[in-house]
Amino acid sequence: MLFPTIDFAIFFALVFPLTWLTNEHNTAKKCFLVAASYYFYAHWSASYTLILAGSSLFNFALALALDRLPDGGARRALLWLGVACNLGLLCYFKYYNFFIASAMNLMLSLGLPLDLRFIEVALPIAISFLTFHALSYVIDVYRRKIPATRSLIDILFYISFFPHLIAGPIVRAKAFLAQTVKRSEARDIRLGFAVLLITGGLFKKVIVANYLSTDFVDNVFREPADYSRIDLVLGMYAYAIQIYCDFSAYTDIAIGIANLLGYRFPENFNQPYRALSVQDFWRRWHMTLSSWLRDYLYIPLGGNRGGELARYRNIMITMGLGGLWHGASASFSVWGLLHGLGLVVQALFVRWRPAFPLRLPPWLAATLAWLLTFHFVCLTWVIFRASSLGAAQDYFAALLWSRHGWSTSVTPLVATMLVIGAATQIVPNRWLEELEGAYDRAALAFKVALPFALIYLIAIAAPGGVPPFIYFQF
Amino acid sequence: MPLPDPDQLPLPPGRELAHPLASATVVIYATLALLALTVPRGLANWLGDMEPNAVQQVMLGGAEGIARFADATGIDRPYARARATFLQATGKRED
Repeated sequence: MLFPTIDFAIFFALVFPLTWLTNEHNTAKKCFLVAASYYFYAHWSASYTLILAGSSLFNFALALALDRLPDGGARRALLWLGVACNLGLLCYFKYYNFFIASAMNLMLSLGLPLDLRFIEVALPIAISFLTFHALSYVIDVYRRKIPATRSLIDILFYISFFPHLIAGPIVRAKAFLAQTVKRSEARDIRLGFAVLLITGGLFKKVIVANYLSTDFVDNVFREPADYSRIDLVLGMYAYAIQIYCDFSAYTDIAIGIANLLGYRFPENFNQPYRALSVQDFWRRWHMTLSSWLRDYLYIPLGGNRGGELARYRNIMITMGLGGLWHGASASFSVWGLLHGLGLVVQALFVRWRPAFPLRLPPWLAATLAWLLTFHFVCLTWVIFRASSLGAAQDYFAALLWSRHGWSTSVTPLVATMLVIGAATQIVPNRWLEELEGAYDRAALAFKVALPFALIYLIAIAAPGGVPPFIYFQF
Repeated sequence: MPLPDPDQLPLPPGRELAHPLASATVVIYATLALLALTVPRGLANWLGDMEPNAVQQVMLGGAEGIARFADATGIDRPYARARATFLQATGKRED
């Protein structure tokens, strides 16, 4: 069930009143929301709800055991067992075939052909985000940052809550479980905030991301050799805007829906293409994944401790695994490693900058930093988007040696989407907050008219069908 | 600009409404009702695509009733005209 569909509108129209009607009885409300979330998930695959339930039960019991055990070797061993089980589930579904194929290729290159079996099962949707939430809970209990909850329904609810279930944002157990122990407060609803996030998200996904994808990006990436250099450059920019509008739309709608149901979710994007460095980019792009990788991978690896070399190694490992998380392919690993390399180069630059004699005016330094960062991010998106490393190589080769002159196949509709997409990075956040404030102060008739008018306009310009969000596959 | 603390979720910006739940309820249902009236074929087509059963037939009958009402009063025409204009301007076709 996708957010921008009639199915979801009807689902939410039923879930919203029932959530608030049961709000006085918190446990009943949570049971209802768990049932609604499982129904939402079952729309993709009913059988995979067993994975959702099994993972929740396992991590509930594991956390209870971790909470009771005294600090020591047994407790640490239990944590490792739990982490291995959670990652094992993820690896089985997501990486098993990738590792089998890699092993077979390696052995073949050594002249030792190997015949191993591939598994033929569909990747359970949301398995990555499910694993992130489960690990966050178990590790935080191990670190005694939070006590293990005695309420099974709280864990079922935390892991399955439908707004964040499929593609985040990743909500930390401490932040979410604190909201589940008491009834929600209607006064926490921020109507202007929620309405603008939901309608803005619908517009970014249904109009901007869809038209950029179907009318330009998909074609350019399919046969890059058939396009001019300017098309290939614009194709790179267009994909950067497409993936931002697609993914941020999902999390915006998720945050807005959670707020209408009385729950708070963390911010996940903050105009990432304004970043002035690779580190700045990762503080603006998929922020909940960045902080997750920092707290559960980078710091446990040693973080900044242990000297410069160890720090650079930890960055590369974290970003390499972060890349691999996106999918079982060499492209994603290379993409992650390149971002790791970008972070290392940036750290080296900061370290050695005092030795450089050249001093630039601040505005020029900021412009150069933005240009470098933006184009680094866009070039790495090509590797991320291409179907394989070979396809990315073809794209870059066409970019350098295209024989199609300077003509362009960009239509007025695509150009408009590019401009709107760029505007999402330029418009100050303050304006949006002022708009939310004006909406909250407006008369009820206006409060109804605005979302109606926006969705009406989206319906006029919408394509025939809405493809799934890009991050569903991760 | 550091990453925000993931364990702390501040209240989103905006102001507290006098009747937040009532306002949200009116906004959600009135918006859906207006969309059902002004773009009535969407709901009817969606129900028409479902597996036929007793409930679906009743709901489809209701959706067709809304579509007939919208047609009789002409409130679905601005959408139809705007949609046709958009398709013509962009050279696209209805799927």
